[in-house]
Amino acid sequence: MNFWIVLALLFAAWLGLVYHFWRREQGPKQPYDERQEQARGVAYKYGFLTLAVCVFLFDTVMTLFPWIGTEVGGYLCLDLGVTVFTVTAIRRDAYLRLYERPGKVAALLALGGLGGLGCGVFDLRKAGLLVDGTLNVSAALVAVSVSVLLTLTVFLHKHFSDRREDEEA
Amino acid sequence: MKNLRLKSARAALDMSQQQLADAVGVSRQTINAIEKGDYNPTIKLCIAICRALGKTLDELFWE
Repeated sequence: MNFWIVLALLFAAWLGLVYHFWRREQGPKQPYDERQEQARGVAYKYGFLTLAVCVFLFDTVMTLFPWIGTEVGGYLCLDLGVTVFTVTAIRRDAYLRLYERPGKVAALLALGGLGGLGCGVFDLRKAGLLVDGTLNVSAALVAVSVSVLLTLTVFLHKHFSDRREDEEA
Repeated sequence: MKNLRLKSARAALDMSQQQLADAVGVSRQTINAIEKGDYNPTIKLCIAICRALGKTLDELFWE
């Protein structure tokens, strides 16, 4: 192995140790409260079940729609599972950590969604929708970006309804 | 079942849900869910809420 790679790995390990001991000094911090932990458990369950159903149906769908391609199909399955988890967590007020600011999360979702969508569409226009008879991998990027933007929509809707509720309370 | 005693105890101290949530270390939505009867808190959280509002467990959570 290259000397510099070993040095970089050792440095990364040292940084990791420093961070670990620094966090221990800070004391235990609960990122989510008990209700949120419970709700996230339900969200993980739904996300996992969605993924399991997708895997179960994968073969049938690939037989019926071979132009999707196994790579894009796999990414779409993962995307669906993660989206179900995220949307469930948002709807149950278990997505944001206790002291996390919604603006930062919304900005990251918007950036990720729009950035991915832009890159995906650009690549699809350049390389085409189909490559060797199956969907271009960028189609998966477009689908994932659309999911992220859908998640953002759900997040913003929840955030504004919560604010109205907050004012009434 | 709605917990109106919790809501009125909080209102008596002129505390918002957010302020109570910050005092006990949970989210505002959790306090809202407890007041609406959508969530049953653990005994640990019940005790923390009682301490924050200066009430006993019986006064806030016994039926």
